[in-house]
Amino acid sequence: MGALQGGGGARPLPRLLLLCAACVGMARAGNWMYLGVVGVTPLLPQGDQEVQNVSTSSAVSICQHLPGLVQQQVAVCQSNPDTIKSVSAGARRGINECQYQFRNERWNCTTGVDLDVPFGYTLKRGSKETAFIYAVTSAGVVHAVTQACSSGNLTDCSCDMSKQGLSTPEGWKWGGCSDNLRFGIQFARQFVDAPEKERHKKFKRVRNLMNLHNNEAGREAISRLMKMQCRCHGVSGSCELKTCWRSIPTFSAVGDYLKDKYNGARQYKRKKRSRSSRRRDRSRGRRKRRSRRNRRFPVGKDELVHIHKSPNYCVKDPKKGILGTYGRYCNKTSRGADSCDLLCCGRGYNTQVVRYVERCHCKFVWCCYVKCKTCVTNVDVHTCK
Amino acid sequence: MTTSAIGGCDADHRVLFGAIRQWGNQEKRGRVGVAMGRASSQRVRAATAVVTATVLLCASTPVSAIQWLALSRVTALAVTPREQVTPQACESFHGSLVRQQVRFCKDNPDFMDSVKRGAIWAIDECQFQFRTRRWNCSTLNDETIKEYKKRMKPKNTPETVMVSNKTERAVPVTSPPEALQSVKPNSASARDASPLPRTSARRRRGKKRKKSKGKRKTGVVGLYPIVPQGVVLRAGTREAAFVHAISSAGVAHAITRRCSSGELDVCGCDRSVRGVTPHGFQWSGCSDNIAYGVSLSKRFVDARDRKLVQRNKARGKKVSSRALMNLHNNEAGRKLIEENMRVECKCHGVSGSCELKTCWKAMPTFREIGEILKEKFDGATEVRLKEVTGRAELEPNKQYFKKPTEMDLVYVSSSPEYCDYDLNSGSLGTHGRKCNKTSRGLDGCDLLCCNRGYVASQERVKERCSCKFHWCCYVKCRTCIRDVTVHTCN
Repeated sequence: MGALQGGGGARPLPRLLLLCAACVGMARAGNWMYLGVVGVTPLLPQGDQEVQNVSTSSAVSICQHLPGLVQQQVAVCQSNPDTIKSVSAGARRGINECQYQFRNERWNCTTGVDLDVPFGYTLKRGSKETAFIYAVTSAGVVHAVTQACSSGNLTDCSCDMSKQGLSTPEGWKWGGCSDNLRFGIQFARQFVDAPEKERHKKFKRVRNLMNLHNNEAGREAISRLMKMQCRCHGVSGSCELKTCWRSIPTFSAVGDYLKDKYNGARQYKRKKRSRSSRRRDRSRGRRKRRSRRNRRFPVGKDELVHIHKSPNYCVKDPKKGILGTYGRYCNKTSRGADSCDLLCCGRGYNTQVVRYVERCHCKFVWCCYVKCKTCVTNVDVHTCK
Repeated sequence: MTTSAIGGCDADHRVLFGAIRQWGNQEKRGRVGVAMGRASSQRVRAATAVVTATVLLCASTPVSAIQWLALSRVTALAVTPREQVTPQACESFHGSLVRQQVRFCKDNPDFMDSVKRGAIWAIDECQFQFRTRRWNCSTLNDETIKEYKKRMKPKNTPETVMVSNKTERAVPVTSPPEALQSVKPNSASARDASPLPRTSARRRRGKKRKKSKGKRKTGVVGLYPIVPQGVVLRAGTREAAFVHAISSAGVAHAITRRCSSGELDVCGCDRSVRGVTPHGFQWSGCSDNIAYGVSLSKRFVDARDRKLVQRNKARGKKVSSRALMNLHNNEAGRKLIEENMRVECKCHGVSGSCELKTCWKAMPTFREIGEILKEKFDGATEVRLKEVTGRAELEPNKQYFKKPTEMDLVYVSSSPEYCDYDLNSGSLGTHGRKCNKTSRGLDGCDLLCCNRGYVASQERVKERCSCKFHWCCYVKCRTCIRDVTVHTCN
């Protein structure tokens, strides 16, 4: 057994080390989002039956070898080793949703060239886009973890039983498997917020406060969109008996909600205080109270907050990590954000003719084959100059 | 974005040359004395610089090919003609028109006012379509020249301000005699030895240039849209393509309109639209004679570039891609009108029962043409010259792009950024432009101001409001004053 274990444990290690060597230089501490791009599967030991049942000792080693996690995240990972897969799935869900929501915008939520540091430059800024990324990935983690709980993939949590057996004001009784949002949120708070909290403790920067706020806004979005689902039982759906449970929203609904919040995101500007007023404050001993107040932004919990203006995403700027809109597909007839006018920033567009060869007018011929014709369609495709 | 009366550049020219002549006289006097002073030599140098600068601004690059658009500001051409354009008047346009165009003017004096009207429409439409863009189709006028002067003004000693390079070009416009007088004592006092032959040579060269230019530029110059040149000198940009297309369309449109109005003997309605339609109606009424307008527009507008192409071909030289591009775009503008002709009908019979319907073919409005052309502008194709068995053609720069149709705009050179002031490349910059703070489009402050930032200011707007109709018959309004926040680019 010892030999077997050694073999199973030793094999993934070089791979891990290789990955770490690649990451260490680039991965900024606390950028756990790469888990959504790279995934954990290449990092986790695979194959052998023995390793499939992840034992505690190997889980510990996995958690320690995941690059870019801060101490607390490693600790969370070690206490719930199964959840790390959900974290990865959640981050991916968030990134996919972000790319879907922004598919027509000048900034289209590209993760960047470097897979290990997704959104590298965008995260450095404190713009609206940064706010959205933080919110959507944190929401993604909540979503994935909660779903994993309900479907029984995690050992640490199950359905939300807190309401089981209680009756509703309408006289119904709670039953079924309510999604365990509380666990999801708590987990996300511990895992996702950890690096920001650590850095905030060290540097006391507004930036970290902003990230914390937006993480919370993402989680808040899910809890606000929670809905009740019911199923009728009884003779032909007569609803003699109804089972109701609370379920989390679909993630696209969360994406829509957050996109809406993105459009109305507030910019936080720190008021510049004169030296004299600062001195006055200090003499009156207000300092402590202010710092406590400063820990929060004066906006609602579900609002997105940013501190910097968004840059101009029109022109390529490798220094700022902006890809520009050159070569993007645009819609000639649209008037929205994906219109050639807005997307190409007035540079105009090129037209290409794309030939589609498709099978069409298919017919079933007795017996037994399908006969099709080939249809050729030429479509004009416009790309930004 | 204002346009002003004719003669901004031209007036500059004449006054300037006057000034140079006077300086020449002074120099003679100086030579009779002891030696040339450094100051006067400086002046001569300045004079040459002035001439070159003027030539640069008025005659050459940013605007070379569409000079006939200057007709839009010629007062000799009334838009509602009372009297015909005389051949002398045609001759006087020599500065802006090429020989063939002058001949056109003499042959068709009736149409010159339509040409002018077409030019006005074209410029107005161009400015309307591009009002929210960085390049907003500004014309070269007094204000632009003044701005140019202001920017080029060096900030050192007063004498260099008086007698130095390009700034001087515009000084005579304001007060030439003073400028000269203030220089005079200076030249008299400072008489250091200076290389005499060199200065005289310079002077001669300057004079020569002046003479040749003066001869050529006798007519109207200036006041056409500043069309950017692109990176490669004399290569046409997208913007140039648009201006060419809209102006040739403008002339065709205006001439056709005038024919349809029935004021002329030479042309009238289109008689070729006759017979019965497939729907059983009979053509009647006055169809716009677009073929006539197009042919005249072709003759007038294409003259310069056609001549260039023919001359190059005759001499066995390479055909200029710019000329081919202009011809293509001119044609595109005209073709667009032809393709967008529509049928307009009017019903007759008891209370519009349409027992009888009169239908005719009508041109689209010029605004529609402008809108379509603007779309074509966005989708314009970058082309390059390709010689196929002795015939020069334009083909897309990249093979996989769609080949432009007859109605698509083409261009040869990519446009500058238009962010900063650089008249030589045709860019006036966006400093001081008004922008829309909330827009994400091109007129938004971020894009229009090129990330330089903007300032907000309050502006007081006077409006007429709460208007009331009084019997009979006038409207009484109150004046309301409103404060509006205006954002201006830095």
